Amino acid sequence: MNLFSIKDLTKEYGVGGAKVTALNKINLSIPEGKFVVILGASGSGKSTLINMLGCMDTPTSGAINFYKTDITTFSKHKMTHFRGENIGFVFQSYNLLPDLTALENVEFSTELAGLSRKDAENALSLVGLSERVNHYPAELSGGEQQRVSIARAIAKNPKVLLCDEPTGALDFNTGIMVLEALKQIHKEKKSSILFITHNQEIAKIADIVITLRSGEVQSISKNSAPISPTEVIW
Amino acid sequence: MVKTCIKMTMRKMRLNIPQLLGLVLLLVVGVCFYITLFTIVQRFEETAEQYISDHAYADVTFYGVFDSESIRLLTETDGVLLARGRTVRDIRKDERIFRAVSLTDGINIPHIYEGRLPENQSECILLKRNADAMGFGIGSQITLGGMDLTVTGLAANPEYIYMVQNERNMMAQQNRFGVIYVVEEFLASGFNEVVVLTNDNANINELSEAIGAFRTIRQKDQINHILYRNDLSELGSFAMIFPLIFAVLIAVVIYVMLSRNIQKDRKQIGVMKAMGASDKKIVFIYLSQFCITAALGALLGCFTAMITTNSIISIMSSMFVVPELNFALYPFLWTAAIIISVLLCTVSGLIALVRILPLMPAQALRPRTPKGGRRIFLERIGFIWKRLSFNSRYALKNSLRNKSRFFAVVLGMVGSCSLLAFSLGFHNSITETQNRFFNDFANYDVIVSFNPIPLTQQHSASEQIDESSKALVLHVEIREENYILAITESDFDMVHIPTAELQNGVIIPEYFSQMWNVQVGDSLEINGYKATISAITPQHLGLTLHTSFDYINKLTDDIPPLYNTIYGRSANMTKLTGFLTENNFDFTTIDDDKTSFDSIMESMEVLIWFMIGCSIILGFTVLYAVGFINLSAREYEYMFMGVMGYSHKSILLTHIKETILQLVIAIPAGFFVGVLLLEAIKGEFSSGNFVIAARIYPFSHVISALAVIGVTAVMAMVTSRHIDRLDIVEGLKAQDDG
Ligand SMILES: Nc1ncnc2c1ncn2[C@@H]1O[C@H](COP(=O)(O)OP(=O)(O)OP(=O)(O)O)[C@@H](O)[C@H]1O
Ligand SMILES: [Mg+2]
Repeated sequence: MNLFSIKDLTKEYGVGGAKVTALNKINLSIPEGKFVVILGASGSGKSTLINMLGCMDTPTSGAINFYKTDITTFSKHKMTHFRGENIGFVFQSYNLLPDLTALENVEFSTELAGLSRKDAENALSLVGLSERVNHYPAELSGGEQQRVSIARAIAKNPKVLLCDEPTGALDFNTGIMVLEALKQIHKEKKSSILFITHNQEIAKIADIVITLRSGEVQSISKNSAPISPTEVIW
Repeated sequence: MVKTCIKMTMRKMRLNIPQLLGLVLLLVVGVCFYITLFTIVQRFEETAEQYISDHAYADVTFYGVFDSESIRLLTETDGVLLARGRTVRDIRKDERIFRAVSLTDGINIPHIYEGRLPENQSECILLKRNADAMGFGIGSQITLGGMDLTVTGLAANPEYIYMVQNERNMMAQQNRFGVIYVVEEFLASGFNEVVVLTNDNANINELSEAIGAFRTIRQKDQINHILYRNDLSELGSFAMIFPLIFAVLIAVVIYVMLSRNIQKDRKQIGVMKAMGASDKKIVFIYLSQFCITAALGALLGCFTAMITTNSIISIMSSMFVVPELNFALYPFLWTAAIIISVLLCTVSGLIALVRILPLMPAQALRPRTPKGGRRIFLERIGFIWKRLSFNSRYALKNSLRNKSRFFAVVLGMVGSCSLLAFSLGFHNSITETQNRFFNDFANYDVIVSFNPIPLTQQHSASEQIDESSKALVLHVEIREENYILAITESDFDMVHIPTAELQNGVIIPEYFSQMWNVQVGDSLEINGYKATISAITPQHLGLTLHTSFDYINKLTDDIPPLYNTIYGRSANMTKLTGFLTENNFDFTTIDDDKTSFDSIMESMEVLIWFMIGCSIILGFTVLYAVGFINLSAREYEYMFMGVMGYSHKSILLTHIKETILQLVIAIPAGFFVGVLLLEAIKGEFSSGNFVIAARIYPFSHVISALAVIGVTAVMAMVTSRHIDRLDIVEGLKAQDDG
């Protein structure tokens, strides 16, 4: 079954002379339970695409079916609810809430989904951070912050994990650690992962690689033998 | 859900403590002011109502000459519940005047603080306020007209809530004018007053005619009562005006603070949205800190009000005597203050929040699209623009780009400047009113009153007065209200009015011309006669209409050629007062009037200082709060300029230039609002006895301006120290994460 079926998806920013077409009539099907990497040069529309998929923004035209529901018809309230229920986000710049500790950051998300503190703690131990739960983001390294942010995204068991260049700000070793954490979650929780990068090497760990170029899909390739994150070199 | 939201709220509050403290202070002052004044008004009203009904204060008092039989007949008239005759006589005793009043059974019952009622001719009770001022107590002896009286009790009476001797001498000095209550036999003469309790059926005019009263005064028209009511309504209007200004300022402060916070937290809000937090939760996180602060501040204000109310009541008690008066707590008032404060914060907070709520999370996560970048108007006028230094350009550009913040600071300055100017101006207005009356209007030294005598006859008092002028001072009815008309000789110059116009009609005070909406040449019905208005003059105290005997004779021959008043001027006042006192004449000197005016104003003084105090606190708080916001908003800009290599000095200069621009706008605006406020309450303070002359003296303007500049300077100093300590790298990083 397809997780997302995208039909003629267009997103334009701005108006008049300043108009930018970030996505131009994209058609795509993303199957359930896969680790999908989205590749593309800067400005090719990767972030725009996953923002639409995660109900973070509204498209200019076109449809996105999540399983059988067209999420582009959602009201604002439904979109909020949809995000809370089905989507986990991991951002390039961590985006933890600075006034909450690591554990509280994760709890913020589990509370929204009606889950318990135990779930939050489990998620943190899954990313190997049981020791640092009571630290504030300002007291954690970039890699640690990113792992908290992953824990926050997965703690509520979302159907889809949307990651916008989560390794972009990290050094090689930390990046690998984050990739491992994601891969493990993919295995254990069976969630679908959409992972943005412009690193060709990282694409090798994916089941499917989608390449965007100037707001259009350039290619879709299936990877029959994805490698493990430890084998990635860049 | 609620748990982490609350934690976040608490931590955000901790970060905002300096700003929230400013808000608390504003709320405390605003709420305290409101509660204090309303409690006083409410308390005085309730207690006085109770006092008046418990002590059966007469609904109407008739003046004239009455016998027992006519009073008995009056009692049987429909609408009359009880009527009693009494004798009232003012007896001069050295420097003092004692008003001896015969006790009336069941009406105007005195309240006895201590002691007992008099039982025979040689006993009396004295008003407690007089006893205190004159140094009398129970057992003291007073000798009046050759008869000894022993004070057997200290009392109060609803007739003398305010200590008024008569319309001319409004606020008698308590050690110069005393009231004693005696048994009827002491005065042993016919009744000159009838006090009556009535019900709704009573037709006062008919009663008055039936009994043949010279003059009829209803309870509400009694001068004591009028003055006391006026004071209450003044307090009431202050209680409205001040908190209103506070409310506006509080709303602005919250709006600016919250706008600033939201702008800073834009990304966090985006993240929360991305995670599926609803608008309600975001509103909760940002608004609850203000609501909690508002509730706390309001509550604190209520408690502070308990202290101020108590002390102000006790000060006021020396002005109006209402014996059972004490402090009471009005839960309704507290609840209202707290609810209004919280609502105010909620509404102004929501206004700030509506900008961010409709954003999609993806939008919120991206930096704000700057409104700036646009060229400001001045930039287009090249030749001016080029002449300005970078600093000035930056300051100008900044002010125009961040309009809401800029004007919030301006508004804060306007608010404090206007309140100060208003409070000081109110004080000035009283002085001005006094000056206009005593320096510009009154031209007499003494007024002697007596029972009417024929115009042809010389009154013995006039022998000792250098220049004197005869007048018949009457109470007349105009549009169903009582006014004072002075009928004078045609060359009357004892007050500054256009004397020539006395021949042609009635000269009325400006205040009445506005109230009745009449002009020179219009006709005015006085006691049923149509008189022409010949002139209108400004008059501020003891408003009186003037005309001449000549004009009255043209109008009617109902008024007999009598006079009851001498206005006089004298070079040697000491000698004259000595003479008048010796001969037991009823007189007041201009100095008496001045003293009496001063003591009326004493009660206002308390209020004015309270107001000035509040204005100062308010001014400091607003400037502090707004300055803080300004500072935190600027940090980034300053750090950025620092990175670009501008020195602290030039950064500070930028700040100072912007502040000066704000002051230049705010101070004149503040003066203007101050005048508006003063004009607005002028009406509230004016009555037939007292018309305020609104005026703010230059000195008050200077003080208000200096105060605002001073506080602003202090804030600038704090800013400068803060900028010195800024860590550029840390700051830029923090800004990035936020
Ligand atoms: N809010 C916006 N307003 C105007 N144009 C925008 C906006 N957001 C994105 N764009 C434009 O849309 C295009 C696609 O942007 P997008 O952020 O999706 O690129 P990306 O593939 O994620 O790039 P990167 O790898 O640099 O993050 C770009 O040309 C960008 O300039
Ligand atoms: Mg991107």
